Amino acid sequence: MASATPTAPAAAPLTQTNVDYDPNIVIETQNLTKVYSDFWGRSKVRALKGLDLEVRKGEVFGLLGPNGSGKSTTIKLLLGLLFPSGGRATIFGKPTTEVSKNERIGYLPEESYLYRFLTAEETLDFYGRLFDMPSSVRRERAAQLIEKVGLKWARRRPLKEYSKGMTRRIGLAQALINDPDLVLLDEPTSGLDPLGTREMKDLILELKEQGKTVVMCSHLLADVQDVCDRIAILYQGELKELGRVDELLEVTNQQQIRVEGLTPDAQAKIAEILATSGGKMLDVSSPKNTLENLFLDIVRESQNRPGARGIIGSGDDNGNR
Amino acid sequence: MVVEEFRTFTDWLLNEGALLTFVYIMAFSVVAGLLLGFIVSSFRVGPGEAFYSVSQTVFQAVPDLLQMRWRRIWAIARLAIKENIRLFVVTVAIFVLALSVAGWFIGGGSKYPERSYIAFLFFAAQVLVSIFAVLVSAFSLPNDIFSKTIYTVVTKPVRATEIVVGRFVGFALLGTVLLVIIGSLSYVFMQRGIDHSHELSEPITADKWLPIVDGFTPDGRRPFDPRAVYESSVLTTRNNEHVHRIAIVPLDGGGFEVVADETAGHTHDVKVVESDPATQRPTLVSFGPPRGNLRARRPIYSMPRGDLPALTLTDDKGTETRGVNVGEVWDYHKYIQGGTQATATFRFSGLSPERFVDQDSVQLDLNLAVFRTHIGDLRRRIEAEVELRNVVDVAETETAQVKFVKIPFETEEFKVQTLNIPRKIKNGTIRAQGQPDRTLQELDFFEDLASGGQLDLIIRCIDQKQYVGVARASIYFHAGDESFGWNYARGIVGVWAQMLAIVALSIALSTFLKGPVVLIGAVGVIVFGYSAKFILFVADSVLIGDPLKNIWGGGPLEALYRLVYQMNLQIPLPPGAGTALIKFTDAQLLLPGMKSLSFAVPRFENFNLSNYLAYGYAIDNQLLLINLAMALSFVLGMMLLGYFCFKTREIAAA
Ligand SMILES: Nc1ncnc2c1ncn2[C@@H]1O[C@H](COP(=O)(O)OP(=O)(O)O)[C@@H](O)[C@H]1O
Ligand SMILES: [Mg+2]
Repeated sequence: MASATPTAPAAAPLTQTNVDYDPNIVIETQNLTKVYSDFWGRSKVRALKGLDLEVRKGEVFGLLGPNGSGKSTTIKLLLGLLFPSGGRATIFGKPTTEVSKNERIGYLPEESYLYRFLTAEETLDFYGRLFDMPSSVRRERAAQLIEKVGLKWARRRPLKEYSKGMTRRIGLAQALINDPDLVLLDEPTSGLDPLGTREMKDLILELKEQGKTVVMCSHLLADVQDVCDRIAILYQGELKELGRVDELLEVTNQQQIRVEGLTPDAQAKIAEILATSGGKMLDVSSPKNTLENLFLDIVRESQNRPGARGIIGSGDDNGNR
Repeated sequence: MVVEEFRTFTDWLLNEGALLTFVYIMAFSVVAGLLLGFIVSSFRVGPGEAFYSVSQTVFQAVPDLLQMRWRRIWAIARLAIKENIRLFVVTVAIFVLALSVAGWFIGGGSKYPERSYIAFLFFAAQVLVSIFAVLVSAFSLPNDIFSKTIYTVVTKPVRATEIVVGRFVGFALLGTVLLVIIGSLSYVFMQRGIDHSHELSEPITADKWLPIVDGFTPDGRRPFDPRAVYESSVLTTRNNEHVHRIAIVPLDGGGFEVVADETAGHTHDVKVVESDPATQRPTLVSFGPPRGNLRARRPIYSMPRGDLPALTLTDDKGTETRGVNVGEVWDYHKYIQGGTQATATFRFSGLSPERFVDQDSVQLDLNLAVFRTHIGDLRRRIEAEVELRNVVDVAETETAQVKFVKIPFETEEFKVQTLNIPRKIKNGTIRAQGQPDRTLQELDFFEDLASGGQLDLIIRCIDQKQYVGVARASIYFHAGDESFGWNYARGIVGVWAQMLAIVALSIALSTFLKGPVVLIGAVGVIVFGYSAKFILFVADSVLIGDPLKNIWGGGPLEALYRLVYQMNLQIPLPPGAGTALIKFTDAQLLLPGMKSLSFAVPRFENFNLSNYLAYGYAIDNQLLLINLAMALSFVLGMMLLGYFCFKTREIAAA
């Protein structure tokens, strides 16, 4: 996957330490591997095995996989919360341990790990300070975000009084405090009610609209299907599928026909009309598999034949087929 | 009071090698830390990768240091404070409770209640503030890591330096405020506690005023005030285990005043309420609050002069010696024999008149020990003599005049005794080479004796067969008093320095240990710091065989062996390979290791300056500076340790 960039990298500016850096590639991992070990250095869990990924600027990228498949591990590796056991990862062309990359990143952890004794306002103020924002900017951003995530009514209450969904919302606000270019969302809809889920998805699409890159991971297929441009399916730490959502779900050996204005009479004659190429053809396309079916297929197949599966629907991999 | 520290800050920093030690320890720790990091990660990821990550750590240290922002540090500090506000309030409440309980028993039955008060209050402040400091700083970071709140923090552009320093700032501030509250409460509590007054035990009638004739009372005593014309035979009521005498002292402009004697380190102002119309002598007086029990004497101690030590002794034949040991091992006094040529010479410098509050009467304070070889008349005090002598430059011995004066006095044991030396001394002697001594000369203390600020003070014991014990701290010029409140604040600064050191220590440990382990570790380091002097002592005794530091029982392993087998300290270990191994490990590994470590840990007992307050001495600014420098350099080291440990820690792996 490292060679996936179609054109040769542009002549790198002198300040750029990473000569391979392409400003269109926000995240790049090469053979990224994580083995959790115990106190004595003995390996316990191989959580991620040789992940090769590229996330491009402006796309919504989904990491999909069942519980324990290594999604959160991947995100933590990208953020420098974990150190890789092998391979490399870069964000904005910088190593993941580089602190300055965080200026442009927003992160929503799997659970909102926030200080329970702070109120929503204090929370956002605290994180704003960590970005060295002056107080006027902090106040403005905090008010905007609290409004946006719909917590205005509870903004003066300490987080320990918040419900799970409310905590999730303030967690999201916290991730957006710096107006980040890259947002990493770990199970963004967990704990949200259907309305909240819808709002979260709208927000992700809104971020995409604004030209931001979003990486989200989830085990909820519908979420991923609705918002992601491309997905990677992880199973037991291995990359099983990678590609555009619409391609991954395309069923190539069938066609479907959508017609309009059929009278009951005409219905009876469909076969005939079709055979004689009569009537008005509105649309011919392939029916979509559901992501659920694809997902279950992969899981079933992986259980039967362990090991990485050929990546389908790769195309030119550039997102513009 | 035992004063052992006379050094100045620059002396300590440069001549005693404090700065060098600091640089050594820092350099050594950095190199050792990087090496250790390299070895550990070599095992995990191979030497190539390990070298890469170690060098990355080094390179990232620069931006981590330079890109620290006050706003981020302050954000983390504020959070640290908010997180612990409740514990803070509880701690203050505990202290208030402790005070109200302590009020029932402190100081009662003591002649010097201020000493018990200060000792207790400083001990309480030290313990409480230390516990508070350890508790808040030991659990903060581990809790953040455990609850994973740290994830949302370190994924912001926060530097590891800011996380460590921010916590330090927060806890240090919290500790400072706590200490200010505790200190102020203590001060008020102490002042109220030692406040007392007296009344006369019975009314004074004119005949109870005993006239002083030729410097003696009718019953043959010297009056407590040499100016007194009458001394009362009626004493005050007993309060705080003491009573006062009162006397009538005539005033220069006519009239008189009534004064109380100094007992238990203080006196009271006396106001006349009623007088006998015939004799004008007071019949009823009232007493004000105690005065002088909370004081801060500013001493000028003897100092080394060139190659000459601050204090030298000569034996009975007049040759230089280390002084006589009268058999008590722990006595720090050195004794000079009476009726012989034995002397103790104290060398003073810097005795300029500006340093003295009262230049017309220079106060010399003596705190001498006495050792009697025969009982003699126990009520009689041992007679001694102090000689003041100007210092003559070696080059000018031929031409210069030696001026000296001898002042005989009676020693008072167990008490600070004050000799008031008038500025103009009548019976001085001037000696020039080749001329007979000119005696009974009037000498000026500052111009003739302490000329150029330098003065030799020679102590002799007059009584034959008796000994007078001196130490460097036992004689000093009492230049004046500083405000007790200010001195008290300086004492609190000592506790503050300790608090800073403990906060930094716990934060550093908390970057790689779990909360409870940090607690144990911090207590371990503090105990180690408190015993650093002893450890050095043992190490010198076992390793060098210093005969002055002879200590039984060997090194730590040997001591443990003796403890387990309940062996007497003086019985040699059974011969054999085991003993050899124990001795080898002690001498080659444990003791040298502990000795080196003892230089990296502050001597915590030095932070307790309450003795100065209790005994009424101004805390030397130099000493305070040394303490602060010691604490701050330790803080710096701990911050560095904490930074590296946190930086290289894989946060989400916990
Ligand atoms: N800190 C850890 N220590 C040991 N094993 C871990 C740790 N975190 C996660 N794992 C294991 O790694 C695997 C992947 O976990 P994770 O990345 O959290 O999965 P998910 O895809 O659900 O986010 C799981 O088997 C999990 O048990
Ligand atoms: Mg997860």
